Amino acid sequence: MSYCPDCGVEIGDSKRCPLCGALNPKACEEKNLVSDSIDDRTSSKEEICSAEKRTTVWEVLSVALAIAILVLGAIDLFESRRFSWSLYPVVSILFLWVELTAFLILKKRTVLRILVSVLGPPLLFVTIGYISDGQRWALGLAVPIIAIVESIIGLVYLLFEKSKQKGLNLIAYMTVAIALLCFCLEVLIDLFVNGVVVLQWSPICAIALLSIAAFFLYLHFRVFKNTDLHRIFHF
Amino acid sequence: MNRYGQNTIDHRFVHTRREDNAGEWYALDNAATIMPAVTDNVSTGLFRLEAELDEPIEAENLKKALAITVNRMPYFNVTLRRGFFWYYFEPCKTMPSLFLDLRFPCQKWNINRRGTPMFRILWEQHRISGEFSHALTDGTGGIAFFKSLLANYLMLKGVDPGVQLGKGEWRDIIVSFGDMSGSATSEEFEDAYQRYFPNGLPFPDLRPHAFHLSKTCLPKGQYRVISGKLLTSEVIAEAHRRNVSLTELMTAVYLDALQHLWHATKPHPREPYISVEIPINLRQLFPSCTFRNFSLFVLISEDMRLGMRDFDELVSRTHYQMKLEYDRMSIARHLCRNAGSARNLAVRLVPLRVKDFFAKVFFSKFGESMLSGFISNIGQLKMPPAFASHILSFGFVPAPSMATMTNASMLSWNNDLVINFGSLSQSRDLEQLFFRRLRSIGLNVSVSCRSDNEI
Repeated sequence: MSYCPDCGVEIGDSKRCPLCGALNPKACEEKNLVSDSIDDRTSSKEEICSAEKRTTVWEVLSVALAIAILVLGAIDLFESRRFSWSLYPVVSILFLWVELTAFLILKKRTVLRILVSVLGPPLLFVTIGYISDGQRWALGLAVPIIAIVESIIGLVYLLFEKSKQKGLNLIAYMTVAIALLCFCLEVLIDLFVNGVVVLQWSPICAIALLSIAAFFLYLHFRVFKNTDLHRIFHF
Repeated sequence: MNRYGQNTIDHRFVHTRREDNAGEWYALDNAATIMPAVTDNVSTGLFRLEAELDEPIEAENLKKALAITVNRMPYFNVTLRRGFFWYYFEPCKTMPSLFLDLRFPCQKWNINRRGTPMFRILWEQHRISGEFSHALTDGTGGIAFFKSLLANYLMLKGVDPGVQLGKGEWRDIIVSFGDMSGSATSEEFEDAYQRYFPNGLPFPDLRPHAFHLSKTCLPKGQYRVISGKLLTSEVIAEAHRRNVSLTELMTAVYLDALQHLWHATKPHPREPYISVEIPINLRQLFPSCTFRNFSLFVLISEDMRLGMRDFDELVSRTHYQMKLEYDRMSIARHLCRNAGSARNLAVRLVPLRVKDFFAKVFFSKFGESMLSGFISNIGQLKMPPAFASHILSFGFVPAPSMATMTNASMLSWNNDLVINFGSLSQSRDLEQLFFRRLRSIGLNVSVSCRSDNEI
């Protein structure tokens, strides 16, 4: 009979103790189970594999992107004798690489990952603005719009995470976010183009979207929560 | 007549079978009325009974046995329907199907889906399993149906029971062979809560909210069952040495595991109480032949603000709490509250949708929130010796619950005591603490987890 060395209970032929996950000493002796990890709780090995996979994917993509940059630069240099149009795709590819790095390599460094992925898009537009001599639109329009979009996405993400019951309330939050985005877009565009804010279309969008959001919130918190309909819409 | 006024039985509430132009239908019993509102695909309200036979299962014979059993006990072959004021059961138009057993029991069966039967029979190799909705029956009713199914199956295979079934010691094994044939009596599906409704008693005291286990769930559709097997004689000897019953000893072990979890949680949980519910078979206090629900519960609680209790202390405190709670008068107060509400005209006139809403609120506020888990002991199972020699083991898996996450159930067969922990939680800490405690008091435990082995 096999016994778990930690719990002291008999565990028969199980590869691991069902209670603490310790390897069955007998099975270990007999079958040399070192590479036989199938238990969901022994995730360290799987995590290593997963990290390795991500690193490999990142490496392959990095090499592919580097080749693309070299090819683009070489063609541009060959054709124009200087770097001209190739700067745009090169900058875009670099931006893509930064984002890939954030998602594939910085998985465990959450703060750095968020920082890199958040700073990437404004930097891309600032760089494009610099290349195209259009720093005014980059700093005056593109960067504020990106900052607003990113803030709203962050806010919606937080709301999603905080929601105990996920249902129509999520659609409502997204609808409110779109209304807010429309409002901010009009303000930013007005300021950039005319220097003054004259709200025209965004209040109409906001009225329509906020009414829909209010209706969804009402359904979620007052109706679906308390009736069988909640089950129908459960996901 | 007795002190609880059974001389004034109102048969409108007791008899569940009704008939109209469209055919027969059944009212739900008092305990079942809340179940449809609080069950879903995960908290299915299904409990499982299973038996391992000495030979591979023959599906054709099992199908025939199921048909025979259902013909004799037609009140099991029903499906849930919504009325305007109450739910009701409508007989299924077809015989129940057989299903191949699943890796995770008691999952993916929603009684609220139209046409879904209230139980299902599954089989695999040597094992037959029956999963029953608590809206239909309790453990005793489920056992009666399951034992009858096994008896019919074994008799179809040519095993002679050698005893008169359906009577005396074997009265809960109902078969339809030769002189043992008969038809269902109304007592078999009566609402026994209403038969023993004691009018005018004070309601039981409300209990505080109890500590619940961590809410990190297994993926949807998974329900882990960890089984522990002990020698019944060894456990009973240990219980008798401590002057308690087997159930009390196991409840104390459960409480001990919970108190360790409570104290290990940092910061300490808001709810200072740990509570274990022990379902009790009311047929032992109030004689009834019903195979519908007829059970209530006793809650054993401990206040964790007072600190960690010694195990011996927990055992004796569980024993005395049980003594205080488990008597006819105390239980009658629960009966009065539960059965009385269904008789109240104002309640009866409320549309079902509104009732569903309040059922959920009450279940959440005064039901599962009061308990940290339950341990259900169905007791010693008995089958006629001719059948028993073909049955290697029995198992009893508790219904899954999203509120308590992990619950336990046990039964004894021959000299084996099988304790099954059913859990929706990723953590196995409760089971680990439970079985380690059993080991520490000198009991030999064999533990297995079927879903782990099937990976």
